[in-house]
Amino acid sequence: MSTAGEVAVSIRKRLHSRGRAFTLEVDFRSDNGIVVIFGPSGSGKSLTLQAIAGLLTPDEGHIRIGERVVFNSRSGVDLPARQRHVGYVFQDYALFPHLNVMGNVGFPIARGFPARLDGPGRDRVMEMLELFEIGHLAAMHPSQLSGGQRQRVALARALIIEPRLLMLDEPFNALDPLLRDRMRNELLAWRARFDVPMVLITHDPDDVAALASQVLIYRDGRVTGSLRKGDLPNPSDFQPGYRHAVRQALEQAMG
Amino acid sequence: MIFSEEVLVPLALTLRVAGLATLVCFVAGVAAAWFVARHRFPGREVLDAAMTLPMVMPPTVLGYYLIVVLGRRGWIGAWLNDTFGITLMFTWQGAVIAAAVVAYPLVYKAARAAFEEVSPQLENAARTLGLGERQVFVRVTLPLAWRGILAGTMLAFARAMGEFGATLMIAGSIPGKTQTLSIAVYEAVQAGKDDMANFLVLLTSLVCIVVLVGSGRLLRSRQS
Repeated sequence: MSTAGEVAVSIRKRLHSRGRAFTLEVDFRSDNGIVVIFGPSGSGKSLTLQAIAGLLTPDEGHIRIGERVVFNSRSGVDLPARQRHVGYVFQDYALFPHLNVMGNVGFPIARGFPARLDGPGRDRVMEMLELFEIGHLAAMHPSQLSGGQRQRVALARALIIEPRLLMLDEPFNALDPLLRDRMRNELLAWRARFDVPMVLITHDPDDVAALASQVLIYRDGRVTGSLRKGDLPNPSDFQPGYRHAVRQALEQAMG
Repeated sequence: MIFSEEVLVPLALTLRVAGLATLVCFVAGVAAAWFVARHRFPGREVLDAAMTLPMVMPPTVLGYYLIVVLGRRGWIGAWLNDTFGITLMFTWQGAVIAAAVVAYPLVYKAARAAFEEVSPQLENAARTLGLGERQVFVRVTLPLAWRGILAGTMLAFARAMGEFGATLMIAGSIPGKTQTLSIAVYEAVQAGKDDMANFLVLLTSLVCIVVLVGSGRLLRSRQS
């Protein structure tokens, strides 16, 4: 089997915050599709993404993205975040408030001092904005956008670097419930369009039902269960009760 | 009276001293503020308190400390004198140091608050988008913090312009050499030159009001 889109993580990190000790100790391999990390808040989901992105240094272990080892405590490999080529959509989207939509999406390809986009750069950004149907928002600032629009900007910005992996932290949490289904479908379409493996974290079983090709169940900093596509109910078999069936499968896996 | 040497000389000296002192505060204050805002280390809050101290200490006490350190027999003063033949006491350069020490906390405090308001998540986002640390600072941190820093810097300039106590102790009151506006006001009052005192006071007030209004505007537009 090809390892092109595979992510292999085996890390350990001890943390102390406000007198409370927490140990993240996870070990998993993802496939080429959409890996959903599912678990309650405080179970170490975001910390795992930060470690993969290079924003958090594990105490020991290794992380491989595709064929590229980005961290290995034994051989002393620890690529800085800027060299990992991981697209990261933060929970609050982390859009730059001092830049408009064009400036945000063009941020990674702007050059010089002060940083600017050249002609081809602008064209590339516009192409990306059109793809995400936000071309008309190019001159707007993040504070003027709706939640769904912000998410599109964050996705476009993460994908313009042509990442080897796209990670999304609770991407639908900040959205109107009615908008969530639509954005889930669009995410599937973009996944196919950009052919990029994804890791997504959530505590919403509906995200698992709609998106997951593989589920990792997190609790207290550990992976306590793992489901593959075959372990989940088939959407066509369960049309109306599908989501309920997924919830049941998750509950069973969590024990 | 406006163009008399009695006014122009101290005014020019004051602007030069305050300008240079502000430049020193700006560089040192922004660097220290960024370091304290973005790093966790033992003694962090003690260092913060030490750098804020000049704001609450009487300027004469600061001036005394400066004499102990920079005076002809001070730790650094003696070394400067022996090695380079440089003396800071009773020079305008000494006045710059006095004004810089007194105004420093205003830049430092404002810059630290401004840096702490910048979400580390935004800096992390920039890192994942391929930026190195220097680029992150220039393209994310500084643009988001500069209003606060600039407002603090303008306050520091106003404070440096009005410096009296520490300056008098270090640099004295030598007309044409170390006599700044605020010291000239004192001398004018002492000598009974009421017209001159009135004029110098008005001039100083005007400059300070302009600076305060300017920095207030910067801070307000940040909130909108």
